Amino acid sequence: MDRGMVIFLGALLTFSSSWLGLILFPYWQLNNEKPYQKEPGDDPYPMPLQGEALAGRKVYQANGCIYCHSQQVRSEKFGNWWDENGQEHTGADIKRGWGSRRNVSRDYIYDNPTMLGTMRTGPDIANVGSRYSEAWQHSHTFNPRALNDWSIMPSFAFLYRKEKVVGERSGKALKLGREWTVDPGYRWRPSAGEWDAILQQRGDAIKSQFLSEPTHAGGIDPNTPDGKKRLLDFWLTTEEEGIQIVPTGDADALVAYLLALRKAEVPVPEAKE
Amino acid sequence: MSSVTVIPLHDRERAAAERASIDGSCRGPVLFFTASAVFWLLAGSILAIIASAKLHSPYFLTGIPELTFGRVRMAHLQAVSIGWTSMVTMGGSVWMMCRLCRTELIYPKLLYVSATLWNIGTLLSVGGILLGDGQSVEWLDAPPYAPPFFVAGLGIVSAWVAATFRRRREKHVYVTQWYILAAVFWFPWLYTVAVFMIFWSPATGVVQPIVNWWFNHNFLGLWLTPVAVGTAYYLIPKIIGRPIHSYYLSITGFWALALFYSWAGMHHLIGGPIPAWLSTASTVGSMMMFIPVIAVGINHHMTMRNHFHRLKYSPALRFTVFGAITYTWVSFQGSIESLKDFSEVAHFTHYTVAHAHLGAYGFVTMIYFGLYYYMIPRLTGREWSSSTLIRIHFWCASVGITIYFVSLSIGGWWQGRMLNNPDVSFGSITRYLLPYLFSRTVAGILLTIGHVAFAMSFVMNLAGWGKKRTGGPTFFVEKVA
Amino acid sequence: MSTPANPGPPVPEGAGVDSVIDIHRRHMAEMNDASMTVDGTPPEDEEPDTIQRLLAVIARENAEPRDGFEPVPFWVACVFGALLAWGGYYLGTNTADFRKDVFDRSDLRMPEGGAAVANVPDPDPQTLEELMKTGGQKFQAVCASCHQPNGQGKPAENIPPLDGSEWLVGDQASAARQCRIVLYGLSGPVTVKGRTFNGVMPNQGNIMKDYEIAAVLTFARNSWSNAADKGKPPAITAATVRAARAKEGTRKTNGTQPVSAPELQKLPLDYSDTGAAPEPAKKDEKKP
Repeated sequence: MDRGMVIFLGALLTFSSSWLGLILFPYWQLNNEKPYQKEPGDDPYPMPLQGEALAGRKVYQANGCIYCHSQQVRSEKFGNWWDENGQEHTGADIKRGWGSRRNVSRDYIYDNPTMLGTMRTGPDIANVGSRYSEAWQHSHTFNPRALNDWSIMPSFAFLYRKEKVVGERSGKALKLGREWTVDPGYRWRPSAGEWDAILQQRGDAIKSQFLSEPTHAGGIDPNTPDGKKRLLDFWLTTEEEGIQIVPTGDADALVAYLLALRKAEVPVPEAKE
Repeated sequence: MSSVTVIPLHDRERAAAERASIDGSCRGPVLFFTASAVFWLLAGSILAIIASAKLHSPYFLTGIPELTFGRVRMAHLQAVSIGWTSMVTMGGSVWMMCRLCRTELIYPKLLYVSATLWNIGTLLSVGGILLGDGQSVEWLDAPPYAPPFFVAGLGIVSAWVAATFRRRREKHVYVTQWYILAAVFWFPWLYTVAVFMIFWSPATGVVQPIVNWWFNHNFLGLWLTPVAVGTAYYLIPKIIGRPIHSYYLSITGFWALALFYSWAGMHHLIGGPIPAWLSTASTVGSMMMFIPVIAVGINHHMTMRNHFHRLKYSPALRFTVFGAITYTWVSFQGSIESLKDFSEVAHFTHYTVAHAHLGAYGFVTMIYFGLYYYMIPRLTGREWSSSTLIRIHFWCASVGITIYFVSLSIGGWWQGRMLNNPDVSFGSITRYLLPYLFSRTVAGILLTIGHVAFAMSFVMNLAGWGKKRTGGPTFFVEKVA
Repeated sequence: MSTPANPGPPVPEGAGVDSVIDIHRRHMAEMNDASMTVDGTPPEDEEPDTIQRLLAVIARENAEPRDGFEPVPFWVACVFGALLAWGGYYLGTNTADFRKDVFDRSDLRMPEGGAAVANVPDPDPQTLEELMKTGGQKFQAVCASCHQPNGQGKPAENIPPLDGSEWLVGDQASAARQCRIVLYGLSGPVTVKGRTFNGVMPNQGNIMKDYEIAAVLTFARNSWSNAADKGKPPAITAATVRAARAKEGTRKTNGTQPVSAPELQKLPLDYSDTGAAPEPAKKDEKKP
C-alpha cells in the first residue's frame, strides 16, 4: 500500500459504512418522531419542558448529574437473576419501581441534550418525578445523607442559602434537624466538650423540649453518659433556632426539573417490554 | 535474522545524518506538543484523585462548588482525553511522519499555532466545566466556546500530515503511516458530525445519544488506537532492530480495524431505548474486532520473540510492550463485554470504568510513555538523567493500573449482579462498593506519583538538569562499572 | 563522523560479563551492525559538545522499521472465517428487519409456537402470601420513602402513618376507598389517628399495574400492627383495582384528578365496585 490514494479511498469507504449505517440511517428512522396521543383531546406525550423545569435542566447539565444517574429504564425482559428457589427472573429496573415500563426513543424527543447516562452510581431517575415529593428532593439535594445515610452523592448545599429568620419562617424552608444545618453540606456533631458547654448553657430548655415529645414520657437523666447521648441525638434532630435553609433559584429549578422527570409512566404502543 | 543485510558504513552514516536533521527540524513543535501534554497529564491526574476520593468520602472538599463531583469528573476526562492523549497523538504523529517519510518538518510555525490553539481550547474546556458550563454530553462536555479552537488546531495538524505525506522521500509507506493518515482523516469527520448533530443542529430523541456514542467510541478506536498501535509498530521493530513479522497481518489488522471498529459504538447503549438492530450491529462489530486485534497481537509478539530479555533494560520497549499486550487483552475483554449476557451485568457499573481505564491508560498511555522515553532524547540530544525516576514511573504506573483494573472489575461485576436483583436495596450496593472505590483512589495516587516522576524526568531532560549521561541510553538498570 | 571499526572499546575492568551495556553491545554485533555500536565508556577528556556526543543518541539507532513478509497463519484465517460466519448469523437473527419500534433483542426470543411474543402476561397473585411478597417489594421501592418502612409516615411533612390508620384497618377503611387513594392520589386535608394532614399523596394509577396496587394495599393492610385480611381471603386483588378504575371511568390517573377525603367518605364502607370481588375458587381448587 504505497499509494496515498489507496489508503485514502479505503479509509473513506470503510468509515462511511458506519457513518451511513449508524448515523444517517437511524437519523432517517428516528429523527422527528411525533408525540403520542392515545385519544384525540388527551395531552400528547411527551410534552416539552417549560419554565422552571427547563431552567432546572441546565443546572442538571452544569453539575454533571448524568455521570452517576442514568435516565433509561430497561425492559422487563432484561437482566437475569435467580431467586433462592433457582427461578429465573428479569426486569429488575421495573421491579425496583424505577418505571412502569421500559423507555423508548419517543420519551426523549424534547430532551436536548438527551442525558441517558451510562453509570448507576446512583439509581436511575428517568421516572423520579413520580417517586419523591418536592420537599424530599430539596432535602436530598441539600445533603443526601440526611435522608439516606449510605449515600455517596455530593451535597449540593451551595444551591441553598442559610439565612436568619425574619418574622415568620419561610414556607420553602427545608425541614431538617440542626445536625444538617449548622454546617451546610456536612453533618455536624458537637464534641464532648462542646456538648457539655451547651448543656450547661441551655440544658434545661433542651431537656424540657425532649420531654415534651409524647414518646419520651419516661424521662431522662442528662447526668448519665447514656442520658447525655440520648439527649444529644434528640437535640440534633431539632431545628436550629432562628435559622432557615431556603433554596436558591437554581435549586428550585433543579427540583422542578426532577419533578418533571416522568419518562416511564405513560404507556406507549412501542414499549412492549 | 535472515532478512537482515549488512549495510555499509557510509550509508549508515548518511541515514543517521538524515535522521539527525529531521529530528532537529521537529524539535520545537514536537516538544511544544509533548510538554503541553505532560502538563495536562498532571492536571488530569489531580482532578482524577479528587473525583475518586469524593466517591468514597462524599464530604471531601464539599465546600467548593466548582469541585463538585460531576464537574470534576467532566474536567478530568477533558484534561486526559483532549489534553494528554490527543496532544501526544498529534506530537507523536508529527515526529513519526517526518521520520518515516524521511522528510524534514515543514511549516513549523503553523504547528506552534495548532498546539497553542489546542492548549487554549483545553484550558477553556477544563476551566469552563469547573465554573459550571459543562454540557453533560459524554466526552463532548466542552463548553460551546471551546470547540472552535479544537477544530482549528486539529485541522492544521490534519492538513500538515497530508502535506508532509505528499512530500515524502521514502517510497515505501510503512504501517505506522497508514494508521496516522487514517486517524487524521477520521477524527475531523467524527468531530464535525458529532458537534453538528448534537449541538449546532440537535437531532431529536435517541439520535443524539446514538451520534454521541458513535463519536465517543470512535475517538478511542479511530483516533487514539490507530496512532498508539502505529507507535508500537514503529518502536518495537525499531528498538530491537528486526523487521515486523508479517506485512499481510499488518494489512489485515489495519483494514479490519477500519471496517469493524466504527460499528461497535452502540454497545454503550445495549438495553437502552434504541432499536434492537443497532445493539445487534454493534455487538457484531465489537466481536469482529477480534480479527484486527489478533492480527496485530501476532505481529507484535512474533517480532518480539527471542527478544523479550530486552525488556529488562529498555524503558521505551518495556512501556510499549506493556501497552501492546494490554491492547490485546483489553480488546478481547471489550469484545466479550459487548455480548448481551455480559452487558446486562456490566453496563452502568464500575466494571466499564475499569475497562475504559485499562484501555486508555494501560494501552494508549503506556505506549505513549514508551514513545516519550524513546523520542525525547533524540529531540533534545540528552539522555534521561535518572534511571531511578524511570523505575519509579514504571512500577507506579504498572502496579497502579493493575490495582485499578482488578479492584473496579471485581466491585463492578458484583455491582451489576446486585443491580439486576431487585431484592438487594440500593443502599447495600453502595456500601458494598466502598472498599473497591477506595482501592481505586489508592491506585490513582500511585499512578500520580509515577506521573510526577515522569514529569520530573521530562523537565530535567528539557532543561539539561541532573546527571549528564554519555555513551548509551538510560536503562532501567544502572550500568555495572 | 568517525566511529570505531570494531565493536567498541574493551570491557572495563570489573564490569562483569552481564553488565547491560555488554548485553546491548553483543546484540548489536550479532545483528551485523558492527559499525553502530554503543560506546561503553567515553574517554575522560572527551569534549561535551562534539558532534559525536550530541548526535550519539541518533547515531546509535537502528534503521527505520521495515516489513517482514511472513504469511498469515492458517489457523488465524480459520478463526477469522468462523468469526465472520458467527457475525453474519447473529445479524440475521437479531435485527428484527431493522424495525425502529423493536427495542429489545429479548423481544425476539421465539417460543415454540413461532410467532414473536412481545407481551408477557401480568401475574395475578390471589393468596395473601403472594400479595404480601410482591407488595413488600413494591412498598419498599415506591411507598416506603414517604410512609417509611415502619409505616409511621412523616408527620412533619404531612405524610400520615399507615400503621393503625383508620383508613386501612379502622372505621374509614374499605377496599373501594383504598384503591381510589392509590390510583388517583389524595389531596386536601385528611384526619388520621387524630391528626390532620394536609399534603398531597401522589397518584400511582399510571405508574403501577393493577396487581401491584393490589399488592401494596394488601401489604399495608396486613403489616406492622395491621391485620385487615387475617383469616379471610385478601379483600383486594387486581380485579378489585380494575373494577375501581372501570367505575371511575374517564378520571385521569396522572395526578390531575386526585380524590379527597370528603369524596371518599361519600362511599359507604360496605360499597364495592362491580366485579371487585376476587374470582371464586374453582370446585377442585383449595381455598387460599
